[in-house]
Amino acid sequence: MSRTRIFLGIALCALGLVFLFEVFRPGGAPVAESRTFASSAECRACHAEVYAEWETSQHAQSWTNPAVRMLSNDFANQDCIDCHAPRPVFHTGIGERVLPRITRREEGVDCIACHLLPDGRMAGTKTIDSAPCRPVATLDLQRPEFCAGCHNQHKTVDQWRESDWPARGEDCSSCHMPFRDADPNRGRAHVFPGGHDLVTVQRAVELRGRRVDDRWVIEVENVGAGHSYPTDERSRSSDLFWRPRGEEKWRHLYRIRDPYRTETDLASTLLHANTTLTQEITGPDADGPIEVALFYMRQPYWKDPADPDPLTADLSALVHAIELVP
Amino acid sequence: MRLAVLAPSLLAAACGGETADVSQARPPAVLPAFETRDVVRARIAALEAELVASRPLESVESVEPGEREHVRGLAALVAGEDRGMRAVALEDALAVGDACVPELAALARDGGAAGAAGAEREAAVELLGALDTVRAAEELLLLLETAEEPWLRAHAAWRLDGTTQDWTLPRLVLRMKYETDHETVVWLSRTLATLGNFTGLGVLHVVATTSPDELQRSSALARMQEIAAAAGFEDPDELRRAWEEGGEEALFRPPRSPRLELEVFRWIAGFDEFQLRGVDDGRFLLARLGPRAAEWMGEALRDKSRYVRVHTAQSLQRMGRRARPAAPALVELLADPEAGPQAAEAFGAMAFAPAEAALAARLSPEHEPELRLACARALGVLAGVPEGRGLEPRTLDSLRALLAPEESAELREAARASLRGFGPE
Repeated sequence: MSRTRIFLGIALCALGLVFLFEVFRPGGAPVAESRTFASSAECRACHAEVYAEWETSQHAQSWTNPAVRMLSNDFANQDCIDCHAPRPVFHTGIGERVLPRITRREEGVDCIACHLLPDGRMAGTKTIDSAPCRPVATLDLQRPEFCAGCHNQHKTVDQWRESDWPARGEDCSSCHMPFRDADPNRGRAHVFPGGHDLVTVQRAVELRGRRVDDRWVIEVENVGAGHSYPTDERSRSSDLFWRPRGEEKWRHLYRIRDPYRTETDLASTLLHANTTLTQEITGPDADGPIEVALFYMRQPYWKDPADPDPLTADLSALVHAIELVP
Repeated sequence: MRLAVLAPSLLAAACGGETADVSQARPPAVLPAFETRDVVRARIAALEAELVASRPLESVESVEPGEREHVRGLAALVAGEDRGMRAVALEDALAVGDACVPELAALARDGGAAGAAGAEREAAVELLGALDTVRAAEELLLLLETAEEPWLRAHAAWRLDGTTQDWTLPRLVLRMKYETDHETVVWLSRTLATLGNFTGLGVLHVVATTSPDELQRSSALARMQEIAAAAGFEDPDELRRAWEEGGEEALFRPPRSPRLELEVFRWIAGFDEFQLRGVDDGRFLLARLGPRAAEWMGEALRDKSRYVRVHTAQSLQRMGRRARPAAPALVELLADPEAGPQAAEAFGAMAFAPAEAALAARLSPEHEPELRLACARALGVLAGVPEGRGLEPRTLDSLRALLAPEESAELREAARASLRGFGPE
């Protein structure tokens, strides 16, 4: 028997030992077969809670939401597809812009868009080789830059960077992916509350008023958003109205909004993090008790532009209302 | 685990058998990588060098303060009713040349330091148009893009009519996206047409049929007929169809300047930017350029930036049949794992039947789901092309194979729809 054969025989025995150790070591588990996840629906079996949360989220509806379809003319405006049906974030890289996908568009911003890694594994909070999706602990998932590919198209991440929120250690997930039941052991919820969630919007701003001499001074302060209020362009605005007590019709006082790119005649009036907007109300109608209300609009167009009415506008919600008595 | 894979080979060797063929243990051959290179930036650098070499950038001084009054006087004469003096003033302005551009631009924008009246401002715009230089055209474009007064934008569009500065084309097309004043749109469309771009015909049709202002409706209709007549067509709709088809070689492929080519490549380079605003603008305007631009865009499909490749392919898709000069480059792009699906979609929009075999070859399971789906859909478009000869039997077989239950629902649906395009199954 030649030396080579002896050497190969020893090598084979060593390999066998390694193989047996890998399979039968205490607490060890076989590595899962490599497979490609082709749809987020495949995630549901193992991640039922997360999947159920995501299904109710705006991410899940980014392709099917009727308001989005209306504003994009049923996606005839193809420019919207890049972010409303994106390829995986990790495909182009953290902080880079996402690219549009062609398949499974109705799944919107789905599990695969955020978790699929270029090697076919899934980004997660733990590395588990034996799980079918073979998750890999990936800290990048929690970085604001992860969200930036889409959400910084409207400068939301830049607004956060310019605020004091990073220094406070508060980032996107603090508000939009809080721990379930405030318990870190329960993991982060995948509902992504934002502008569609009235409680989140109410937490973002405070509405105050006081009498100064012969006028009312109204203040709106961004106390709870780590970015401008509202953020996102075009389809978001927040409007301040007032009326003498007892009157039915609201009177428009001020609009907080970043205009769409075609609206070159309008200035951006966004309320940045930790800043306060001050407006005054004067005149004989305001000498008595008045009501002031802040509305949040998920589409900024009035039925009659000459006569803004928050009660007839589509997709408007009352955020705060106060009554002021001299 | 990889070591375990080698075990049989080692076992065979240890047991004295013939040396195993190691190649049998290798994974299947990987398709050659799609090769990319720095196309766009290199092209921009070359074009910039060409422009500098052919026409050194001269430092053009503005007229002296004392002469500003003279320039303003020229504008006043052009605004006046004396035809003779008007002609002299025009000739004089041309003699002064680019030096009077800043003063004319200031006059046009807001009346200048002396607060010129409306007629003089109009005359300043006219003189800028008559100068027909790079500098003057740049000022007219700026007026068109930024002036708040609609009449001023309309005048700028009107006075660009007949310009020889074809590099203004991309920005003129982009203005169609943002312009809200119908009169400006009407003149903009005519200016585009004189530069061999007929994308404004569709907009003119909208103004002619929907504007609440009768004067604007009739003006749009008149411009449509003018444009068609100048192009040798009796019917504006016929011209519009020809433009969409990309035929009429001479008409839609006028000689183009290196400066226009440079502008186009700069817009393509902008696809690499993070902000989608510029990308959206780029996709909008590039999709509305002519067949010559499609050739340049075809070159960009080999660029090393994935964003350049994907968005250029999308622009060609939106360009439709006019994009056919880029077809050879798009066939190669099908091999790009990142932009391949967009290439397939472009073939569908172009109804480019010669791509059938290339598309059908990408239906098999070893290709990415995105590419397979895009190819299946594109073949459906080719199957339905009225002048087409239908799909090859082999292609139909490939599509039928996608109906297998193990394929995804949307791939099956796409195959079914494409087969329906050819006929009932």
